[in-house]
Amino acid sequence: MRPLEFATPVRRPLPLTPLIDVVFLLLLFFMLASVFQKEGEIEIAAAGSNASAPSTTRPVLVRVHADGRIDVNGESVSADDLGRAVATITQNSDLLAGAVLQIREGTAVQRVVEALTSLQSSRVRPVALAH
Amino acid sequence: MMGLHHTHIPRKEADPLPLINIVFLMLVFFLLAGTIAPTYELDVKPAKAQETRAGELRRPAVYIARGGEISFNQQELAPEQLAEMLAAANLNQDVGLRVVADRGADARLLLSVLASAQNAGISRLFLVTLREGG
Repeated sequence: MRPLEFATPVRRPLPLTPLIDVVFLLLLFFMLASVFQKEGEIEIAAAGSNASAPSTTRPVLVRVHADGRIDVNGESVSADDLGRAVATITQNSDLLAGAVLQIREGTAVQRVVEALTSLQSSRVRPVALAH
Repeated sequence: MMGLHHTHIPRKEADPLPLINIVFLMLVFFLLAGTIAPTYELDVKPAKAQETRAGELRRPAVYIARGGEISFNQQELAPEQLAEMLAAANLNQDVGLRVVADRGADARLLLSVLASAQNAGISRLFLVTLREGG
C-alpha cells in the first residue's frame, strides 16, 4: 500500500493592486466629500411673537445698518462691544430687558449673526428681530 | 583592450507597502477628522460664527440664497408661498425649522421667513451658522 500523499498548497503572494485601487478610491471620496467646518445654530424669533406673555419690561433697541454700523439707543458701537453695551443697559434698569434687532434695508445676514452672537455671549435674552 | 562592458543593473520591484501605509493613514485621518458635507438645496454659504451650539440636522430646512431665492422641500418658492408650503408640510412643532441663509443674503428675508413660519404655526426657528475648526 502506498502511503498517503498530502498535496502541499502553493502559497501565492496576495495581490495588492485591487486593494490599493479600492483604498485610493475611498481616500479620494473622503477627501472630496468631507468638510472640517461644523454647523452651529442660533435660535431666532420675530419681535412681538411672544405676545401671550405681557411683560412690564421693554427691550433695548439695537439697529443694524447695511454698512455694518450698529446703534444701541442711537449710540454707535462695534459688533464685539454690542453685547456688553446692552448688558450694561439692562442691568442698570428695571424697565429694560432683552433686545430688539432692527434690521435696516440691505443688511447682510452675516452682520445680523455677528450682532446675535455678541448679544448671546453677554447673555442678553430675549433677542428678537424686527423691521 | 577591453571592450566596454555594460553592467546589467537588476531592477528591484518597487515595494508598495510603505505607499499603502501612508494611504491608509490618510484614509483614517479623513474618516475621523472630516464629516460628510451637508447638502444644501441652493448654493448657500451660511454666516460664520464661533460660539454657537451644535446644529441639529434632523430639522427640515428653508434655504435662502444670496440673490434672495427661497427653497423648501426641493422647491423654489416665492416668499408669499412659503407659509402655505410650510402649513402643507405638516411639520412637527417641537422639532422646529432650520433657516439656512447665505451670509450675503438680505437679512430682511429672515423676517419674512419668520413671519411665514409663524403663520404656519411653527414657533421655533434656528439660523444655521458655520463654526470653523471646531
